[in-house]
Amino acid sequence: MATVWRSQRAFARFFVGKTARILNNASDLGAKLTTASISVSSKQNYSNYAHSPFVKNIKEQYEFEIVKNPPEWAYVERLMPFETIPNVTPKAAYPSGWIPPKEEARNLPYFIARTRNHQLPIYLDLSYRGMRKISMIKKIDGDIWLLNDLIKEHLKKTQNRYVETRVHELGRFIEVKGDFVTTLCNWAYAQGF
Amino acid sequence: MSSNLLNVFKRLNITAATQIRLCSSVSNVVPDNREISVTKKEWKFPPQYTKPREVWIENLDTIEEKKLGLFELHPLVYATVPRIDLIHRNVEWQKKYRWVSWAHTKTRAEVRGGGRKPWPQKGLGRARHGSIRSPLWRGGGIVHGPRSGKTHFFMLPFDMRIHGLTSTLSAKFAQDDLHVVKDLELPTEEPAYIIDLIESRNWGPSVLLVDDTDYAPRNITVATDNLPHVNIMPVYGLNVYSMLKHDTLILTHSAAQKIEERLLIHLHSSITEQQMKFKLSQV
Amino acid sequence: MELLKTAILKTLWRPTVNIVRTTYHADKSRLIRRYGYEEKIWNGGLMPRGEGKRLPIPEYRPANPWTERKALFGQNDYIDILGPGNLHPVKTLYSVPSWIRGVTGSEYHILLRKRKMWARTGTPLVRPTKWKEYEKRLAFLYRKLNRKTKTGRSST
Repeated sequence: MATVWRSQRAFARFFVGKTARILNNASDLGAKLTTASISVSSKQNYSNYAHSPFVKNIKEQYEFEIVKNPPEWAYVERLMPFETIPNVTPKAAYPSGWIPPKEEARNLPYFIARTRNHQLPIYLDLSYRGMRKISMIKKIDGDIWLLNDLIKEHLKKTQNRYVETRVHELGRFIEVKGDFVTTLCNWAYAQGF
Repeated sequence: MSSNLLNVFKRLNITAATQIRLCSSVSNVVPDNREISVTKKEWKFPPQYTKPREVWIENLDTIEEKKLGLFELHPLVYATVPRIDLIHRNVEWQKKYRWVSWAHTKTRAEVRGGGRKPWPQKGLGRARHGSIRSPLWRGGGIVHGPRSGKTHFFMLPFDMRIHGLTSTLSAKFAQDDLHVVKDLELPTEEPAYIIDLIESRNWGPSVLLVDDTDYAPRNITVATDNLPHVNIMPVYGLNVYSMLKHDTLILTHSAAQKIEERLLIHLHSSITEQQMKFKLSQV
Repeated sequence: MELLKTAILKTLWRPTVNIVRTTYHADKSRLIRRYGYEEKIWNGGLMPRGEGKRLPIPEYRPANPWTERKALFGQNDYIDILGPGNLHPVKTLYSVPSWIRGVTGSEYHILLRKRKMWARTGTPLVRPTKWKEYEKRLAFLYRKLNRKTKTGRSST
């Protein structure tokens, strides 16, 4: 692999970066590599990448061996960030007040999926300097028109007035005119979403 | 379709090694002696509400279609709502982000000559002019013309590109233009074989084959070498434009799984970093 | 008596009667104007055609939509999603020169970048006229943008 590196400036710099990182891992934090300590440094500025010669026999400053799957690797893995957002471990109660989705909600003709962060996808959209308030329910599956009817009915009951909604069937979301995020969230939690 | 399956199971019970063709004239499914494998997947991200889509695994080693098994596809990737607006924006992005216009015109400063005054200011009865390369003159410089190196670059937001892929895959799948095959192994390297195969299976004239590996098997590369409308791509080369340009999309079993895995990871992970504003220094 | 009355009326009241002469356009005799002048503009109908040689119509050559470049257009554009994740699609734009890959901006920005990237190459020595023109254009654009035009709305 090392013999393939070309000796052009950019690659030399890249190589220095790599070596320095390896050294940092090897608990030798004080040692800073200079360009001079690497044998690939080249003062000549080649006009073309293809014209630059191949580099051979790169001398490493320190001897090290490469180990695959050492037992200590598990401790390193523990520190690494999650690749995906982890699933929720079921508990009796959650101190944060987060409410888990219920299993029986999947039998309803409509469905509101949770976001990737396990939250309800119900948002408040403020525009015109906060004069226009629109609550938005996103990620709806199944019969969106039935869900719209139910939401309208529920809002009429709780707010004692007619509330306008707008259904976007292709985008799978419903917009409700006015700030009803809390009401809608409570309704969704009650349904089990 | 279900009656054929039933036939297969019945015949599996009765005889094992007879080669009777009971194929109906309507469909070209030839019941094979091999057992049809119906794989139930262990989902890392189980489908929430929509049922997983089932798809046949087909073969490429005979011209007649054989169903080798059933296979489940995740609805978040292969059965979302096909948002045509997102597909359009993705295609527009693909066209524009690589587009550099090299049209160029010279200004009056760049056109050769024109340094001296063509005739005196007064006394000749002619219009006053200071340079023969003025924009008024024939052969003079161009004002506000195109200048070379005009880019149309922008990056479409990361989630929009993910949803562009899922939308296109879903649209293709819903229109029966997406097929899953076991692998890309062909018995011969004759181009006539692959042409016949595409013709008999009613795949579109143009076919995009997607494999998991970087190197496709030799036979299929040789067979499709002179067919410009049959192309092979690795999984990471798949894109919205090519999916729309080709009539039929053929995924190998492993490629379908790989696409699903990659997209599901992005759909279930934090993409704040990728969603940030594009900076030239980041690449 | 009656006769007398009418005779008196006739002498007192004499209406003027005009005889209407109707001449139609079709009945007019044409006056020949511009005798001997031959009309050179074709007004006989569609499609102007010259007397002798016909206008050249280019042969229809449909473009091949399946050349390799067109058939594989857009490959690797989603490599950051479908690939291992360490490669940005801008890095795969091999058909675009590296100094303009993924760059946005006005002519001034692009020219500034071009000059910056090309200053360390042989361009200033090998193509001095081109280089002078870049410098000249940059100076012109600098003066135009900073002294003669207003800046747009600030982003904050």
